[in-house]
Amino acid sequence: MRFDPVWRLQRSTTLALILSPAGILVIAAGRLLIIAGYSPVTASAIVTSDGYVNALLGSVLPVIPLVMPYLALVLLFFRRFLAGTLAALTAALISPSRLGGHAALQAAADDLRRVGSWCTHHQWILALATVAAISLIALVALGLTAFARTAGTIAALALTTYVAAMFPLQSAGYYQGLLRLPWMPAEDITLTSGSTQTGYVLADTNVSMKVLLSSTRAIVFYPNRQVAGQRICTADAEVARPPLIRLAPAAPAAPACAQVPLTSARPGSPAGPATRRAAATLLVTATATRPAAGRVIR
Amino acid sequence: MTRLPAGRTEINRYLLPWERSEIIIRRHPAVLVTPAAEAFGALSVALILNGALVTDLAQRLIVWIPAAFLIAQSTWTAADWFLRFLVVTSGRVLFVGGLGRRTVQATPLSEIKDLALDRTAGGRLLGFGTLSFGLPGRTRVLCNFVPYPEQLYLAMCGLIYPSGVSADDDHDEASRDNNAGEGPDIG
Repeated sequence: MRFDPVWRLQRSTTLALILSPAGILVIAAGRLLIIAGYSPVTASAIVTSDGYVNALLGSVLPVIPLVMPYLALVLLFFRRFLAGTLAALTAALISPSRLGGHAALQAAADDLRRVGSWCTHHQWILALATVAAISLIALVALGLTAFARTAGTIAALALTTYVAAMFPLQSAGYYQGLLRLPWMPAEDITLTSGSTQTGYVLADTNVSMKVLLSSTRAIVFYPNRQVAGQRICTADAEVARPPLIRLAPAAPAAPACAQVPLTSARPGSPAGPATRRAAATLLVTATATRPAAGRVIR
Repeated sequence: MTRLPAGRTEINRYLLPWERSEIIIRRHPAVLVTPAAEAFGALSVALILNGALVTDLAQRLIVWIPAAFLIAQSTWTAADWFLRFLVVTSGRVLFVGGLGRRTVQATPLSEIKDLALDRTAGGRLLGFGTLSFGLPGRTRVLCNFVPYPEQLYLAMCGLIYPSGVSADDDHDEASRDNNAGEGPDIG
């Protein structure tokens, strides 16, 4: 009897629950709370402003590229060759990777060279690999499906280090930053007072603009007469990474936002203590101008 | 037919006092090709990655935990194969065995309506086949990776159709039943 969690999931209520509206709702609610800085009031305000369907899709869909490489590995490992291959292809096309295109190929070639070099110095491994290869070839006699499934399992194991390097699970800060990014584009909003706020516009009417501030995750209402200008910007440049295979040339990135969100500061990332201090200074400025700017929901 | 004295003691527990075991076989060792490929493949890949590419403990764990899982699973599958038998007695066909959970499935010979043998190209090459038989009101029972398939097929036919009744006659009867919409599902 083989332990096959994918089979068990398919035949249990777990997967049905996860994929049911209730399951997706729970995932969406979790992500929404992360975006809202764990403030239920802010989360509710985002949902009511942006619409329930937008909030549901916007909070769930961006998570898919993040989990896709690891989903592909899990599917391949548990003998779901076709689904795993499709997931791997999708991951290569949509998941943000550390290196892309030629550099990724170069990294794979370097790995293969190191493996080849190691094997020439440790030839005893060839005996073991030969037995594995003969068993794999013998599997062809049992059918191509059995061969593909087993080859997929071994390939998944062989790809673990490469996938971990390309889709950095270990740098948890990257994922944290990505999960905290709202699905709306970040904007630099210049006020008539001269200060600039970075935020996400939740609603824009003839009277006022409802903005989720990037730095504090507070919701602010700016009367339209106090807004001097708006500009789409990139809140966290490091999060916007290209996929492994880029089918089309990348569009020119939007300029970096004026305020770096406090939460995106990671050890070793450009948003270090100095940037944090700068952001804090801006935050103080924003707090000082807020009473004049409008109402705040926390 | 392989006689297995080691398995007989285990199987005797499930036989009725007047029952006589005619055939006791394990599934063909070709069943073990998949776990062998997985175990040796996983071990080779893990050793190569460990030696050539892995640099820190986290990566080592990422490589070795799935590899250990595959090796353990393959070992379990091999042990399970060793303890699982197809038994044909004078009155029943039994599937007995299991390493962790022991299961016994019995089918009376008298209920078996038709017996079919399927040998793929790979099965002919390695020496196994798939036996299947229909039961009234139930889906067909499949028994794959059967060793000595022709001998087993003939031996079972001999037990199901002891004398005077040929397999073809019975198969024809089953086909007629099917056409009448009352027979076993042969598909």
